Amino acid sequence: MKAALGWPALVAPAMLFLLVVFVVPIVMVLALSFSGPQIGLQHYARIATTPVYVRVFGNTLQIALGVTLASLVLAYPLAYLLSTLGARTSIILLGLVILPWFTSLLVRSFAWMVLLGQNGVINRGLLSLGIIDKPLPLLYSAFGVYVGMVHILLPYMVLALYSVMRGIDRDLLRAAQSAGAPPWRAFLHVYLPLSLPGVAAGSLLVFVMATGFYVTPALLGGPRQTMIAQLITSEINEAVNWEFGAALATVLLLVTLLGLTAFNRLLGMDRLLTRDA
Amino acid sequence: MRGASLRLEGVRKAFGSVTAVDGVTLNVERGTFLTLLGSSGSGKTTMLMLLAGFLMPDSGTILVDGEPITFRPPYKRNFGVVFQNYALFPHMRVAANVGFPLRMQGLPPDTIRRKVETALELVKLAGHGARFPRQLSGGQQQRVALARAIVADQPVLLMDEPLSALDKQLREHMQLEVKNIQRRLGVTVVYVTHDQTEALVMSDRVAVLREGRLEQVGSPRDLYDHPANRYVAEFIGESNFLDGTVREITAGECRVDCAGLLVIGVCPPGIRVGQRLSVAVRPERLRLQSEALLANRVSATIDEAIYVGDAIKYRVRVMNGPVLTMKAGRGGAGDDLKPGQPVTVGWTQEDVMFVEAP
Repeated sequence: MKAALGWPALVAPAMLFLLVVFVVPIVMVLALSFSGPQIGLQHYARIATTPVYVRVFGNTLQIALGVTLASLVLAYPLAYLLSTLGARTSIILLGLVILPWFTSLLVRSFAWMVLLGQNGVINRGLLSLGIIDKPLPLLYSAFGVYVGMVHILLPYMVLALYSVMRGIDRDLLRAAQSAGAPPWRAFLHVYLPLSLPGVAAGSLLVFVMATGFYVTPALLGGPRQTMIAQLITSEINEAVNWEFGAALATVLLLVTLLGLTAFNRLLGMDRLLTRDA
Repeated sequence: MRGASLRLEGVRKAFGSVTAVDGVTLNVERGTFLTLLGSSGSGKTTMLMLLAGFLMPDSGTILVDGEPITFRPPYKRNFGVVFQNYALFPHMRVAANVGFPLRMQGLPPDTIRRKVETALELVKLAGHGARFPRQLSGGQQQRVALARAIVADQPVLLMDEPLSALDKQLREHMQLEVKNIQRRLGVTVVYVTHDQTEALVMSDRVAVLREGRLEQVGSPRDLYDHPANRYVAEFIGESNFLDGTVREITAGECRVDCAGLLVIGVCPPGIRVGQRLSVAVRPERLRLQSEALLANRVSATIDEAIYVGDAIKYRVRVMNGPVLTMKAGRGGAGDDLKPGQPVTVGWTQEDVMFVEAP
């Protein structure tokens, strides 16, 4: 009885907060994108018919997907290792994984500039060792953007995978092995499917965050790696075209939702739970 | 018979400075139900893991039908393993769980389906193949795990406290059922438990383990009636222990002086006059003196009566002597004794077990 009366009161502050800082602004942005000089779809028409915007959306999706995939490939073995270690060791190592979060994203992107530049540590090292005879285009390239973004987003993937892997009963692998499955088949038939919720959660998180990245591609990427957040910023800050910026943001939101749906189709919990034998 | 024989030869396994299994040699005959019985830390689970191939011994050999398999990986042993927490694959339906070993062998789907059906029928779960494990009760999950461990005609079945998570009634029911299935299939079972009742009910042979060593291997009756030492006598069943010295041996009868109380028993071989030892008498062997035939008789008073349903346990204080536990069946003369009541209790020579002094 008490709980039934109490829960709206408990939820209310958070709901109010979300309403004011999240729902209202989004609705306003959405409304703004249909206005401008006159009410209509003219901003969306401009996005669809201007090659540069279509290309930047393509870039954004491609980079976000690439970063998600690279994070997954790097994080999976690491999270697996962490989940098999004793509680104390795994907590220390997890601390190391999260450590980069204590420095700001901006600082870390600048640090990568120092490392990856024409005269950066890596190029000069390789040059002086005679492995290369002219500097590699590490900075202001797709490579730089991927390195920078994966570095920032990897911990999210590791944590999402770790939390699921930690809950997988190790006896299941033993059961699979005693049932005649060599380790790789035990992994494929038992561990991998059971770790999929973590893969889905981590991938969603990283993908959604990657689509909105601004600082890292701006600092580490070239013109070909321009992402949509950079265009939105320049529309609003430089062109002072709020309506068009709002339309770009709305399309970004739609693209992200589309990505979410696709991920859910591929890896979602519902599929996992009703999987046929 | 489909079972295989197992043999451990001088098997040793240490974890750091702790020796979990300390030079165990043990034979398990084809088609036998053998239980590894011990308290926690006795090394029984380690032994099972060594048999399953999840652990490798530091020294010693494990043989199946005379063939060494000491370092063979688990997936090449074709042993059925039933885990304490069932270890069913939560993302697979019951049929896929049971059929997993067959799928790993690459059998055609039709054969798999047929064999899975047979196995599910055997564990009385026919028609449950399309469910997921989480939709089943604990007892049903245990049956699925059992079906998975026998579906591929595994000659050896290893079980690690498989019934410990079930409630008492279900556990007792499953004990008989597991035993039945084992007998029907003729499979060799190595069963780990800390529950002595379970061991006595299910096993053909019981191996009592303590700190990585075998204390005694024998049939349940052997262990209960002729415990090899004090540890086994204490671990299996209840006993009244009296420490004493052998005073006299005549015509196969020993007279042991236990602090003034003279106990007469059938003398086992190798006992000498003057030897210090313990005699043990099971509580249910103590009876109220109504027949004059009992060789051992003492006057005592009832200290305490404990009602346990199918029997009554009495704490009986012997005049100037120890307190003994007596277990009296219902309906007899000992049904309703009151504390303070004087009684005469007795036991026969055959009821006396001799074990070494502590």
